[in-house]
Order: sequence, then structure tokens, then C-alpha cells
Amino acid sequence: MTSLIATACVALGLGVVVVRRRSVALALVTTQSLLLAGVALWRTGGHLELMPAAGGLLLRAIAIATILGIGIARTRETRPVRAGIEPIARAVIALAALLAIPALVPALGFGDPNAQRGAIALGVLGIVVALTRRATILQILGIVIAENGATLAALSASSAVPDVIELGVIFDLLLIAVVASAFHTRIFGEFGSGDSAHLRELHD
Amino acid sequence: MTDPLITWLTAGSIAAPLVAALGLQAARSEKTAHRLNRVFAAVTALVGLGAAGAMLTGSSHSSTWMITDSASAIYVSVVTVVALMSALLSPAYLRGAEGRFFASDRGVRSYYLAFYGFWAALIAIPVVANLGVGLLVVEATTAASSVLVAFSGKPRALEAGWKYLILTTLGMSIAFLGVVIMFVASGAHNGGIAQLDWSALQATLAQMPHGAAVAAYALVMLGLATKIGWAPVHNWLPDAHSEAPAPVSALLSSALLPAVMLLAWRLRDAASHAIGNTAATTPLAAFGIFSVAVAVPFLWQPMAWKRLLAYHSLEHMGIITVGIAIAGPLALAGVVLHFAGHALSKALGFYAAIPLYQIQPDASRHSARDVASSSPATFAAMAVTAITLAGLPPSPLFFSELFIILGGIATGHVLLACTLAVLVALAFIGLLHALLEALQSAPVQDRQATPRVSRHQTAPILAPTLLTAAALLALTASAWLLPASEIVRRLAQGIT
Repeated sequence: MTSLIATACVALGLGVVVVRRRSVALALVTTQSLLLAGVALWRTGGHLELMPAAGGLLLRAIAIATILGIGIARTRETRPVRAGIEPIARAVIALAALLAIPALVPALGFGDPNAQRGAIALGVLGIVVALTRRATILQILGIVIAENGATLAALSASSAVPDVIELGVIFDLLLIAVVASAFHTRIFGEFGSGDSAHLRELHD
Repeated sequence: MTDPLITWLTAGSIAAPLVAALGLQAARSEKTAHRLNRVFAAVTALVGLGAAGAMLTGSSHSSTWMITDSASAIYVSVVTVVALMSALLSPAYLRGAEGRFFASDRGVRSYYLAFYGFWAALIAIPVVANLGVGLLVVEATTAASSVLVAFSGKPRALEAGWKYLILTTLGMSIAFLGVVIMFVASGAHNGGIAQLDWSALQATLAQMPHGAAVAAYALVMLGLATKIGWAPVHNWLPDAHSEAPAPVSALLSSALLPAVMLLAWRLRDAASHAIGNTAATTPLAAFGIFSVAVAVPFLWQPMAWKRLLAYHSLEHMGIITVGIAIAGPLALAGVVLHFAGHALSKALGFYAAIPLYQIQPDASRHSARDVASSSPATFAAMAVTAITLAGLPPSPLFFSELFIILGGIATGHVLLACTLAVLVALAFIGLLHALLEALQSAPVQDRQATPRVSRHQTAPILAPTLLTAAALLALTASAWLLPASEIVRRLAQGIT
């Protein structure tokens, strides 16, 4: 079950690396987040004490989709923001990183090796998306993908990660999403586009 | 001092800035907000310093949520002093600034909301007794401080704030992956959050397979490195420190970076038994020395004052990190002295930018010139900063660097200590160069652009300059006693 979810999450993350439209990328990441929330809810087995973290993941998925969806709707680009690197090149970079993971990372004690690979792959994909995509919304999605990697790892644990940590991470991510969305709106207002390529004045 | 009293005072030192953040939202006008800010800042600082004093005089104590030891006391006291000075100088900054990131009618109140929220998180980091909760607080600081960095709403500030937000949040995501691996691989069922308490972390890591423990440690350390701004993951640091409002730059450099470094220090102490002292310490030594090495070439370039200070943050965080890696009593005395001396002098340097930018608006992009003649008070503040940061006697940083280098040699880290000595000498020359530039007269054709400023404009920097200079001299005097002190003895025993 976790293997299947891990594979699906990585495939969705790869999709974000190559798609052009911000709304499509948001849909892919939201699906990924909902999948993880669904697994968390399924794993509660109806036990109320496990519900807060699972419910929090569901709330997180919906809230981030709403916050960024509103951000996209309010900042219509006249043309799609082109990434500095072509989609095929981005896909090659991402795939090369994903293939290198099993060789580089030792066994970390995950019961399911696919869950380990999936968790680390999502972390890597999040970084690839944040660093290779120019649209500010996509860079925020990169962070969400990386956080989903930690969530997948937590879901594969036989002993539950404490609610304090799970809920704290959810709260922090929502806070960051709100602030990042405010940044996106201000950047769009300043430059007429949510293209981070406009943010290249500072260097030595 | 009883443990419950220390706990309550410490909790109060976190709660007080949160109350201030909310209380300031009731201000109807900017003037009222500034007045309330002074009152709240004084009260908050009193509670913070009371908590730090209680921690210093009481015995070390660690519960599930709170750790109150010598390290917490030192950090809480320095963070409180810097936050107080930043709060008191914020009105001087805000009067001449436009806060376009927020709606214009809420700019000042939003600034104070984020500022005091940031203050609360900065106090919480050193006293949180748990790695996981500590990381949550560190991530929360990003939300508050990134909007402060971008407060002006100018393109450069937006760029700096955005870089800071994205890079440090990505880093913290990596750190959380490391934390989850600790839970997964330790196989401890129902251990709950307490598994990550500083006092329990050593046992948690020991239960893990060695490879998993090293990987988890490396991921958390890498995440912390992005937030501390260690090279090579420091890209956000010069931009954020140079573009933030001056009082916020002071908090970022003098309080945030060292506070997050305390988490790295505690983690190293907890991990050194489980993964081996070499595996735990080598990343710190590498990050530290690399940070100093990366900073040095920039310190030689003519550069805007705040940006120069930002690269000095990189250098000085590197020096402190090397001291923590060396870990002998003499080096740790150097770490304490360096942390306090750097925090005070760097904060003053950033505050000097408030009048400096009023005198020379283009000093935000170019190196400052002719400051001595146009504003002696501002130049005095810059000189105190530069002399201290350069480690010129009687700067406390002269002694702290000496302690760290000698401590390294005494504990057998000869190569590390010698490399640090060479790099520090190179940085020294760079900063003196900047100071001499600030003394130089502007070209004749530019003289009209740098008129002598009124006392009113430079008044806010006079008191901090005198107080900081006195505090730095007191620190220098304390250097003689510090290596044999009880504080350093406790630090050398480990801080988990």
C-alpha cells in the first residue's frame, strides 16, 4: 500500500517538474497531498486519538490548494512563465537525481524500502522544482512537495510520529504558504508577473 | 532561585513579546504605536533579563518542554538586549521608511506584530528542550522575519525576502525529514515526543542503525545550516541582512543565527556518543572554516555598509562554529565571548545604517564615504563596530578569537586553528579597509551631496554607541575570568 502511494506521489511530483501551467501543477500537488491525507485517515482505523494529525493533513491539502488557487486566480499571467531550463532537461535532471538516490542513501530503517526511496525522492523533487522553475507559485509548490516527502516518511513509520510534530509541521507550512502567497501577490504587483527572474538584482 | 520560578519567568519571557505583538494592534495612530512599543519593549526586556538571570544563578534544569541551563541563559540575555535596542530604534527607522509590503494604514502595526512575534520565537529557540519542537520554532521564525525583511516592499527587499523564505523553508523541510527518520529508525514505540528531548536524544540516536543515525544527523544539520547561513548554503544571508530594516538586520545577525546555532551545538553534543565524535564534529568544523573562507574575499571589496556587515555575519558565525567544533574549555570561553561581542557590535553597526542612509541614501548600494565629517556620531558607531569586528584590541573579539585559536591548538586541532588564524587575519585587513573608506572625503564634485547633518538626525545612535562601547569594554574585562568560570565549566560538560 505504502509502496503504491509512494510511487504515485513521486509520479505526481515528476509531473510538477515538467508541466507548464501553474494551475495544473497545483492540481498535481493537491492530489499528492490528498493521497497522503487519505492514507493517514485510512491508517487511523477509526481511532479518534489518531484523527488530529490525519485531519490536519486533509485540512492542509485543502487550505494550501485554496490559498494558492486564489493567488493564481488573482494574478493571471499574460503568458506562461517560462522556466530557464527546458522541460526535457528538467525531467532529465529530476530522473538522474531519483536514480542516484538508491545508490547514495543507506538503509534508514524503513520497513518498506520503497517508502524510503519515495520520501527522499519527494525531498529531491521539491528542491528541483524550487530551483529550476521560475514561477513563484511553482517555487512554493516545491516546498510543499518536499514537506510531503517528510509526511510520506512519517506515514511509513510503524511507530507514529507524535501529533505535536505532525500538527506543528502542518501549522508551520500553512503559515509559510500564507506568507509566500502574500509575497507572490506583492511580486506580481511590482513586476506585473510572478516570475522570479525579476528578482535577480542582488549579487556581488 | 527555585525551579518553578525559573520556569515561569522563562515562559513569561516568551509570552511577553506575544502580548506586546497583540497589544500594539490596539494602537490607533503611529505615534501611539511607537509610545506603546517603548513601554512593551522595556517590560518584555525586564522579564527576559529576569529569566536569564534566574537561569544563570539556578541549577541546570530540563523538562519535556523547557531547558534552562547556562547556554540558554547566555542566549536569552543577549537576544533580549539586542531585541530591546532594535525595538527602541524601530521608530527612528519607521519614521523615514515606507512599508509598502503591507497596506499603508497598517504598515507600522504590522511591523510591530511581526517584530514581537519574531522576538518571542527568538527567546523560545534557546529554551526549547526538544529538537523537534525547536525546529518548529525555527521554521516559524521564517514566516515572521521574511515579511520584516521585505517590509519596504521595494524590489530588492522583495527579492531578499523571497530568497530567504524559499531557501530556509526548503532547508527546514530537509531537517524535518531527518527528524522523521529518527522516529522511524529508532524503532522506539510509544516513546512520543520525549524521544527528541535533548536529554533523551543521545539514547534515541544510539537505538538507530549507525548509517541511519548519521543520515538523520546530516539531514538535520544541513537544514539548520541553511537557516544559520553557513557556506555554501548562505545565499540568502547577504541579501536578507542588507535589505531588511536596520533593526531587523540586527536581530537576524545578532540573535537569529546564533540562536539556531545553539540547536546545532546541542545536537552535536547529543549525537557525538551515538555516531562518534569525529562524525558529529567534522561537519561543524567544515561548515565553520568554509564560511570564514567564503566571507574573506567579499570583505576586501568596496561594498555597501550593511552588505559588508552581512558578510561579516558569515565570517563570525564561521568562527563561532569552529569554536564549538573544537569544544575545549578555552575555545568555549571564546565562543561565549565571541557570541556576546559580535551580537552587540554587529547590532550597533546595523543601527548606524539608520542615520547613515539619511545622510547618504546611496550608501545602501555603495560604500559609505566622508561619514566622519558629515556625521561624527554615525562614524563613531561605525568605528566601534568595525574595530570590534576586526578584532582590534581592546575588542573582546580579539580575545575570543585568540581563545578559540589557542583552544584549538591545545586540543590538537592545530591545522584547523592555524587555518582560522590566517583567515581571520585576512578578514581583519578587509574591515579596516572599509573603515578607512568611511573616513575618506568624497570627491570635490560630490561634496554638495553629503551635507553635515543635524543633531536631531543622529541623536538616536548616540546612546546605543556609548552603551555598546561600555558593554564591549566590560566584556573585554570579563575575558580574563571567563575561561576558568563556572559558566564555561558547565558548557564544557555538554549542553544536552
